[in-house]
Amino acid sequence: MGAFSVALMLTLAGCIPSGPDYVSDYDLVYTNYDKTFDFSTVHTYMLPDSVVHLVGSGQQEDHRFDAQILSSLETNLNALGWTRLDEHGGVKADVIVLPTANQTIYGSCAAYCWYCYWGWYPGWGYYPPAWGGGWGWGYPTDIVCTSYSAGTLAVSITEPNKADNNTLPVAWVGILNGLLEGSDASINQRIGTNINQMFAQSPYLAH
Amino acid sequence: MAFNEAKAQGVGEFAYQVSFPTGDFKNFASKVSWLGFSGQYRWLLNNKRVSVGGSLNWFYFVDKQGTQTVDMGEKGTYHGFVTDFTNIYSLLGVVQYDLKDPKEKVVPFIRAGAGIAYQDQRKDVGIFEVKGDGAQFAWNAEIGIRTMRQGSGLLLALTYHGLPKSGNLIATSYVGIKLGFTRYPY
Repeated sequence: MGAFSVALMLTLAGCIPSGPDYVSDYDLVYTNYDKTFDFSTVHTYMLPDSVVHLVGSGQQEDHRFDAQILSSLETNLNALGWTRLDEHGGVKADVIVLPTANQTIYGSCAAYCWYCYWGWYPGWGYYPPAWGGGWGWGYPTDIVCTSYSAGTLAVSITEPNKADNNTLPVAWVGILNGLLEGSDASINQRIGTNINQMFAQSPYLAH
Repeated sequence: MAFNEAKAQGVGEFAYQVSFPTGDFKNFASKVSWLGFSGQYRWLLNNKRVSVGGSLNWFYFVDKQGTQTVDMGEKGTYHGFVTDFTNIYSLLGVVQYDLKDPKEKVVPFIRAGAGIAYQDQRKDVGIFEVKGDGAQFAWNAEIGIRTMRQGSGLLLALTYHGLPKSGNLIATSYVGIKLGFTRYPY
């Protein structure tokens, strides 16, 4: 029975694999979209000049990577053939692209509350005041929501012209999650690479 | 009396196994598993060629698949470093039939087992993990050969393990080469 006891001990031990070798191996890019939305109808977009940061009370917002995020988004959106409109131009855009970042753990998509940070979008008076504090996200019903930790960037392509019933429809969402480890330069490089990946794995955006 | 006689005629065995995924399980973990152990204890019946007992088994499979872009259809698309791994624990009832007189030095045998397994299948993508665990029916079939000398011996066997799909656990199957140590009462 000695061998049996040894087998029992080994059995109860279990195993887990060693982790990836590089920080970049922890990066995850996820995208999904509203299957009923026709992206070929999109010709113009608005992109705010700031990234909304969701932070807990007492936490500092980290804007070190905003420029890289906004620059990479603009490059990819322009590459789709879409034209960026100025929010002060008085012309409605087909979609508004909203980047949101956090470095804390949120339980689910419901934790996103961009309207709580309304002040981050100066000059959006064309659509508000209809967008008040009671608005929420309208994700596709099959969106995967999970807990986010480390650094997460969520980019949403929203349909402001179809806002209804206190809900801002989201036609596309791209989520980048990764560890905020390494130099600023290497993190910026990873952000750029992974934002490019968001669009590369979403060929339906192009028309 | 019959029980006491059987109790005195116990056979112990401990074995190491290298396993090769088969079927749909290859989509989860395609690489060879180098970690697998089993221990069992059987009682010889009046027909000494037949023994029955139980086995406790543990197998570990891991497959670092590298960076992948996976289209999940309605559930979206993800891109990240994927690692699949699972720990399989099973408790099986076992019956063995020796194809020759068990007292001979070299004895081929066949063996079958059935019982229950607990499996903990996980898929790591980046820093996220998708977990599927639960109980499954488990069975195995085995053909092998053992050598005996003064009650102790070595065995070499080819095994097959099957765990049908259950809940969110994918169907799991693998063949293995088992090398073990066994102890007979004679």
